[in-house]
Amino acid sequence: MTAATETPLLECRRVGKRFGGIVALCDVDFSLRAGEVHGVVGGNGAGKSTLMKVLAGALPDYEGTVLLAGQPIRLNTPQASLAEGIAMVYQELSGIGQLSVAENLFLGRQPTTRLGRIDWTTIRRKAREWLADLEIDVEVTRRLDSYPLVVRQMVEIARAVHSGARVLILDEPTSALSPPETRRLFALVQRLRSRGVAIVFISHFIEDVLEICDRVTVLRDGRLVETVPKAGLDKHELIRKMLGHRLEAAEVGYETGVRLRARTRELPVFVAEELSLAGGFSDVCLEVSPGECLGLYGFVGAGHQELVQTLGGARRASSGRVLVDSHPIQPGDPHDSVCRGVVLVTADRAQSLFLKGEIYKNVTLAHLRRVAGRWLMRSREAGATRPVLQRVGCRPPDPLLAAGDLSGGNQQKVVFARWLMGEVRVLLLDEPTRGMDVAAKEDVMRLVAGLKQQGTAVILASSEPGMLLTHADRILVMSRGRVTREFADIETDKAALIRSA
Amino acid sequence: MSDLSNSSPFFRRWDARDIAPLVSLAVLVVFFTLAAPNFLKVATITAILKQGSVLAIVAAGLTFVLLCAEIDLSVGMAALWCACLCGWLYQRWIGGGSSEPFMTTAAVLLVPLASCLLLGFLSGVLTVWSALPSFIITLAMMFIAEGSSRYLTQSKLLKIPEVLAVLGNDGLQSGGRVVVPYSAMLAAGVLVAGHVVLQHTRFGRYVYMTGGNREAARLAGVRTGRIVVACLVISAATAGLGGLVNAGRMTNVTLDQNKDLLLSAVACVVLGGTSLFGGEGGIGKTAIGVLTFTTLNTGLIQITWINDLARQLLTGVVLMAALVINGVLAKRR
Repeated sequence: MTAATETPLLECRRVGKRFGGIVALCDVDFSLRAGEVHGVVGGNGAGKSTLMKVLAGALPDYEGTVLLAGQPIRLNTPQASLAEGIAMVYQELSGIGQLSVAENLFLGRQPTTRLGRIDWTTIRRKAREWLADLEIDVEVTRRLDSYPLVVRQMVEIARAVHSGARVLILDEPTSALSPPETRRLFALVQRLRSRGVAIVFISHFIEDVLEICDRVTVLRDGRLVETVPKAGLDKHELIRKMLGHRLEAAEVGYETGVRLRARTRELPVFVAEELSLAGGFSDVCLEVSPGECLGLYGFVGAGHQELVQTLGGARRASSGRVLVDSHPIQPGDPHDSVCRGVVLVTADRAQSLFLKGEIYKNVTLAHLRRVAGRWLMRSREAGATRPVLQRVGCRPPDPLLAAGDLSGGNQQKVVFARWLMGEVRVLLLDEPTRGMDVAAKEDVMRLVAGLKQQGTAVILASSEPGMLLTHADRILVMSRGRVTREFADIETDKAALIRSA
Repeated sequence: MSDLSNSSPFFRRWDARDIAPLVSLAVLVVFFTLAAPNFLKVATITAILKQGSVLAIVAAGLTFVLLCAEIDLSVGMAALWCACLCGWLYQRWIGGGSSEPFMTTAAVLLVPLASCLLLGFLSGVLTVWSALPSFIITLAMMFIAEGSSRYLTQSKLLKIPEVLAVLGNDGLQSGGRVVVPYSAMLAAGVLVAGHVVLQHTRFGRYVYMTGGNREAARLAGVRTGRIVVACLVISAATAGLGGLVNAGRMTNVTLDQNKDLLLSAVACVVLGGTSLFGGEGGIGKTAIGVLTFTTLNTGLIQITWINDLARQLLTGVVLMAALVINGVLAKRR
């Protein structure tokens, strides 16, 4: 019996994967026990997602062996992985929002009546049973997209478990969740753990990993650093392992307070008056001075992200107005905003870049007249782009590559390079570092700090308190579409922020 | 982290997707040279140029529309409308008279072209304003253009200015035979102009970026609505021009002209490797697509042992093979 319990449910031996000449994953050993939550951490490019793609059957020609319950298996297709009971739940909205929860649970395997029609009664009854079994409290006949993200994730997990998954891979499950939602998800993870499901938990959020995981595997540059039990591990140590020698890049813990600045006496450059967006936020007033960074904090869905997008012209406000240098800007017209130096950087790089297009085309887009003149020449544009790419630290700084060939962090640097081509008076940031590793985050925020020093007014919307406490001078807290509190000229900490949201 | 071969512009410029259309063209030329002894003659090439010129002019404008991720279904009927209005004005203003005063003739040619600009502008504004797909708006515009042509001409055959007949049939001669048709020269001019606009002007870049990622272009300050309108105007203008040249080739206007112009033009653009989803492609590719398509049509006619009634079927089969091969190569990248 002891031998049986010691055999891990899933084991990878010297698994590797190369793309062309690039080694993405090299000789990684990884083991997963039944009833274990196993964290996988590492920076971008560390090999987390490559390893998980191997397990999900998305990368057929990997090296090394994968063993399931001691038996070697080959995972050449996603179907093969699913058949072995390995299921992956992606962070992006999964499931089909227009269908009901029950339909989503039975997607692709609907039971039919004898006449060949879909058996709705059974579907609904079983869906209710399954969800009740996992203590997920939702109405199965409602449309999936009427529920928040966390519910959609939980439904996806329920679907995987009930189709026989013994190994669940959760990819960044908490990155878009508010703390109460995270708690809800963790409760589900714990229930699954107690039933012997093995769970791989990939995350950038170290606190979440430390909270839920039994063991943590650290990857760096495609290699295994170490697999350690959680006991006796703390955040700083884990970050040190992830970064290797780059200890100084680690983010500081904010359990202790941070002193925020008072409002400056300077004339505000950017003002919003009684701004409202139907279904987003209402009656928001704010002002920012040159060289000041205003933080907007709220849980996901609090309206702070919609607010920044509206300020940048990406959405049209239903009432109120926005002024730059006491000059009103056209609502819902990014052209007017850009002309006045009001610039929006969104979380989603796919929203701001033409990923199949060359980097230089993406960089020169906003200031094409100034950069390229009347007659566009590829060489001249590339030449003008290269120094800016170097300045923002984009790797590789090759303007002729397609933007989509870069990693997420570098794509965001390309977005910054675009705006650095002209004058930025007001910089609006909507979760600018979502999904990036610690080093890339740091690079991007250094660019923001540089602009701020030159007198750019910055508005930073984020659901990460640590991020705001590090970078904001003042913080507005939003909850359900309204500004609930302003933190200025006061000492505050993470807990206070979360409490007031 | 990037592959070396990937970062070198040389290799990037010569990937399989870009070469595939050229290869299809080469294969066709070699095949027809072997299968039809008369294929590789000056006369054949002249015929290809003459036939291809209308398609090239229309496809050049259509390339703009496809690059910005829209479609213009009205090109064929816009071409017909342009020719019909031209014929109608000709009958009205010049009548059967033997002399064609310069100014009147110019008006007879320019007024229809201007009306096409208006059609394109209307399609564009309605597409942007209603936020409906251009597929729907230009589909309606197609019926409007066809209906207007029918109403205007009362289904009668109309004469056109002599200058169009010259443009459509005459050309630079050598040894008493037309070698380079004027229409081909006009088409070359349109293609070059289109290429220059797309590759070397800000407007051209905005077209690519609007098609590649409209939201990104909008957030970067590009007025994407105007770009879409402009592309549909360009497409309608080239369609009108193509319609005039085609009428010139026939030396008159009838309602059965330009029936399959739309689908041929779309086939040419896509055959060249321009994406239907925007952002990728160009005029150079369209030129290759037009040559391939016209070579295929002309070559099949020259192979005498093929049954006349089987030609269209064969055209379709070869076209599909070429499109699928190009598509698969593009996907593999």
